[in-house]
Amino acid sequence: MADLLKVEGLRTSFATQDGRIEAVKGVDFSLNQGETLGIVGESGSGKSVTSLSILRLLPSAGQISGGRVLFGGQDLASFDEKAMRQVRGAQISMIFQDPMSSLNPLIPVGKQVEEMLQIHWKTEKAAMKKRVLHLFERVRIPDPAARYRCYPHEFSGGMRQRVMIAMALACEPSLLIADEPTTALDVTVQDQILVLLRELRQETGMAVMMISHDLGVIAEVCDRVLVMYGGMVMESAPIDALFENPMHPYTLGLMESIPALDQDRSKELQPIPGSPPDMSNPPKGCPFHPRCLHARSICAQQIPSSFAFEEGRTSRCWLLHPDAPSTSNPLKKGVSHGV
Amino acid sequence: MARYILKRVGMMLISLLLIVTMVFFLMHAIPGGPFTAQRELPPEVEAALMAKYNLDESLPTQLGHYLLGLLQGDLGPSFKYPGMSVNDFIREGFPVSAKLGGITILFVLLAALPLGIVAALKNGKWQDGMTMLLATIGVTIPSFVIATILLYLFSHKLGWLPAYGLDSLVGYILPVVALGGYSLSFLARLMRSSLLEVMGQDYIRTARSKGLSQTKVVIRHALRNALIPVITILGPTVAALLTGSFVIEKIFALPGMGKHFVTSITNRDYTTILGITVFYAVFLVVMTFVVDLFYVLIDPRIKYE
Repeated sequence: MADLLKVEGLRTSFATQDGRIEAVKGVDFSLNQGETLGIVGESGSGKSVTSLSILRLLPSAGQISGGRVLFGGQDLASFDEKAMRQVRGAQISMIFQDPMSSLNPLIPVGKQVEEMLQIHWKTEKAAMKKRVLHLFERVRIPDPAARYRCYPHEFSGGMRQRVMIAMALACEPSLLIADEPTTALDVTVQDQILVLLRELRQETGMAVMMISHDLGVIAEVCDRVLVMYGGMVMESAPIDALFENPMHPYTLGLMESIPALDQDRSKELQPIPGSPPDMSNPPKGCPFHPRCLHARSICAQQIPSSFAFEEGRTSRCWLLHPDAPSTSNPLKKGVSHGV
Repeated sequence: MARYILKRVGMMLISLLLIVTMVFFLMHAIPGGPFTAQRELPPEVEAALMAKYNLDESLPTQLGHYLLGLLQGDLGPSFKYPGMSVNDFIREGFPVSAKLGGITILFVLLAALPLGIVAALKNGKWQDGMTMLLATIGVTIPSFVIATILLYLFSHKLGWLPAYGLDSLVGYILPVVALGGYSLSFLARLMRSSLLEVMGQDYIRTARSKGLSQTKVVIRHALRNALIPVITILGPTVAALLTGSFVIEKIFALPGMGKHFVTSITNRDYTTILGITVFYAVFLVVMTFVVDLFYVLIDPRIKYE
């Protein structure tokens, strides 16, 4: 299948008072038409910056310093601002974390959705309004005609996120980037939004890039997952394979720090020790090595390359190197003979 | 809404009553009186004067008299300028001050808002640096210094503009710049910081993610939000500019009402002190009220019961 989006060696850095900070350090991935890709990672892992880099919506201090972003075969990084505007909203649209602050408080929600059509479709006013009402219906906003004129503050968080989704879908984009779309919502509302997103994806056939720090959210909607840490992709795998058999110490750590309902209460949760790296002074070698339970001497010296060890799976860890010992190696239990 | 307006008018009247009462007792607390002069008046004459203006009564009675007059729009006679009433002062001076102030407000708005917007959009570039440098100078240097420099340059050295008088529109240029310099600088800075803050909001990123151009993002999504703090400041600014400035009127020899703010106090001209204060206070509370009504037009989140 043709790649809809192919990101190659993407690097993004920010100018700060302490000099340039590289937030994304060579990220590669691709996304097929109609596929849902999850990107998971802690705050500061570079997942949001990756998505903002694709649409070139970085704040002014941020800059793409390397790599290519191929969308439908064209390199978005080479587009000028005007060409980029025709991609934003029309072909790739985005929904954001906080629906409370992502809508303009002074403009009725209907108008804000309609603006998307005004920019890209330019049909008659009546037709655009009709489409907005239809979109509201599709994202299940009750009584669309009355809600059209409401302001964001008259909506609950979940309803606002529905408005954001209606806006993102207005021009039938082929890719939707959802940056933590449920993080700011109540758990029950989270689930409604995820179900809605899944249904809309099936109806429209668009591809979705779902960014979250919550593995549970990713598990619910995604086909494939990238696990990011310190601005790099640590592991990439189909969703089921990742949960069955995590192949990176960081992913392992993430899984162990999720509480399960049927868990033995006397057993304590195993959080990952330490805290995410200071990106202005990143650790040498593998960014995860200071917190890794299985770190070896080479981990502190050299960044491991990405090992492809199974169909559709890669992991960036020295433990997967052919010369790594297999005894007490958490990653070489099942695959030692497969590599 | 009607109930809200009624309530606000009531509150305004109470504020005014409090202001009058406070100023009344404060000014009587200053040593001396309107008829204290270097050459002492014969006691009989002074007593007669005091009796004529009811100054021999107790303070609360005097206040009562004053308030009764005020209700009928009578601000009383001037103690210092026989034959003149405080109403006369306002009738003569206010049109002059208001015209100068009105032009100044227009000038300030037309200059400050664009400057602030450009500075915000060119944040960190030379346009921003220049605007902020000028604005800092405008806020820190007092108006009389600005006026003096302007007079020296454009009137004395270059001879382009008249040093005093408002006979032609040209005469307004220097007083307007001197009077508006501070507000201009202040508003430009406020506009800049407010727009900068709005431009960092999530909904601006949403607007950009829709494929809007920078210009349209600013016009459609940022400006209205950024204007809210500016409008807040505009209320008191308008009140202050319309009622005149002592310093500017003195320097440019303008017959406005600004001078009364200062001279009435040195003269202990009790009725004038009160009258001018009330006049200014009325402007201030009304402008604050107007600003609050403007919020409703701009921001749908604000509703008054």
